Amino acid sequence: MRTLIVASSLIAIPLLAAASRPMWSAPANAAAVLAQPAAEGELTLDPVHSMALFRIQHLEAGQFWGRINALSGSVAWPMDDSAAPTIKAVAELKNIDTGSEKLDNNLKGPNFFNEREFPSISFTSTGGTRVTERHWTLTGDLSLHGVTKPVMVDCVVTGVGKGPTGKKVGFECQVTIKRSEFGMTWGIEKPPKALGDEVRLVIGLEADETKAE
Amino acid sequence: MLPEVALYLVKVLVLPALLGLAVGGFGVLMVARRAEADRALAVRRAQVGQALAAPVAFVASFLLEVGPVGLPPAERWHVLPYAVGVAALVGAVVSRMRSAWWVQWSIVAVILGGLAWKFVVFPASNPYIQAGLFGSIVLVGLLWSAVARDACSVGMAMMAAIVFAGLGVLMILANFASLGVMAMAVAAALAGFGMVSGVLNLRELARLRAAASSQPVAVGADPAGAACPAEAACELVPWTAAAATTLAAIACVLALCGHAYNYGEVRPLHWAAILLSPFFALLVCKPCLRGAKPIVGVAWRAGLCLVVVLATIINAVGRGSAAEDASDGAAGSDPMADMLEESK
Repeated sequence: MRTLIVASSLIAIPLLAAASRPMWSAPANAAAVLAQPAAEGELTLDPVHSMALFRIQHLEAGQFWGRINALSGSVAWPMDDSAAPTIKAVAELKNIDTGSEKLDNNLKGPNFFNEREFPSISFTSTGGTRVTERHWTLTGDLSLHGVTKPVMVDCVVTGVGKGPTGKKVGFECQVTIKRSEFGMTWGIEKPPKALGDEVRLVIGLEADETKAE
Repeated sequence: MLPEVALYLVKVLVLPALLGLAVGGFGVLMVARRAEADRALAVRRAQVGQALAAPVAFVASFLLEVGPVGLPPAERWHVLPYAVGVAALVGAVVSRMRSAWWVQWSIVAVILGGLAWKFVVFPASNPYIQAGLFGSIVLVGLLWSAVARDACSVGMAMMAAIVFAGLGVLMILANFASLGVMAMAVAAALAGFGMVSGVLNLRELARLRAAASSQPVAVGADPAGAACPAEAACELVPWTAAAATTLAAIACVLALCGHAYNYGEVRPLHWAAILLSPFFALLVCKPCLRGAKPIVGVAWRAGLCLVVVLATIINAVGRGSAAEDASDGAAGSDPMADMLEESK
């Protein structure tokens, strides 16, 4: 019995110590980004026409494409192109769409995105440098799979048009990341070479002018 | 590609299973090598190994598949190696206690159930689910302890192997392949442990028979009975209730984890049916098997368990296929083609 008590104490003490601090970090709350009111002249993303395409190599052969529909968020960009766009975009992983429900479910699962714990991917730009007219290299933070890392995104203003609520601006952004840097390692080495490490993201955004109230 | 995949499976499935088998089987081998009168201490050591075999296989497979994880874990399911490690420790310590089976069961069930209730929290959990986890560890632990008392060590190991293999298949159907591989590693370790125990038990049976046949038969005694010692007499290392409850607790936690991250057509009833499948082994009554070869008892018990597990898997696969067909049907309908069809 004494052995049992000693052993139980050995087990209980570290566990109680661990319990005194938060066991897990809360999943990145993308909704908080959206909750901020839009400033004057700020553009709001049109979810119907905003999506992210991702490309990854499958079995060292083809480049497989999938998409995440209905991006939300906001863009601040002076129409005279005097400054870099400031983009806050959120992709909800429930909107993942590969054309195969089985594959969608697999990608949502804990071997890949772990959607139950990390329900969204978000990007918030923090600055930018001009490449040419209406073409910028944005720096910002990408939050994916519970990991936030700085990335550089190539961003082109594809056009300024007119929508039902005012001006409509299109952007196309591209970035290539290594998913292993975000803790998504399944399929790179274990199982070997099932999927590539590099993921190319092409993000198409359409943003509507926000009317001042 | 194939050799690399095979190498991967050796790494995350075969190696952990062999490690678990070594931890469990070594003790039984040591018991078999000792003289009958000198076995008591070796049996207790072997029972510790018995409680450690499956957890060692799981933790090894996890570390080889995912790698080391910190505390607090980055993802909730990464708590599993810690949970299984604690379960192994409790199971091993209580296995060494000389106490009645129900005392061992209640200590292990309450400690592991309580720890799981408090610390093993998967996504979308709530107080009812956590209380349910405690309750399932207590109840499934009781069931598995009863089976361990009723069946021989080989039968118990084989039934547990079937259950973990069944859980592994459900996890793969739930789109959680990596946890499925880990459950398979546990199943392989238990199956190997059962086989090693079986071979050593049969050797012991042959030795006892040889010893019995060399004894002079008393007048009026049943010569056949003297030559055929009871099944239990050749049991080198019987399962402890602590080890059985530890296994049950690990199975319950893995099942809840699989359910929490389920992105397939696996329903709660599927997990429950597999966890409770050893119940059917209790239907095989010991008196019916009196005089039968030990392997008959193992085959009946493991066979009944296997039938339930297979039926559950077939049902889960059927649900998955039906859902896939339904979604294919929906994707196949082209609104433009439908409109053209209507305009004709």
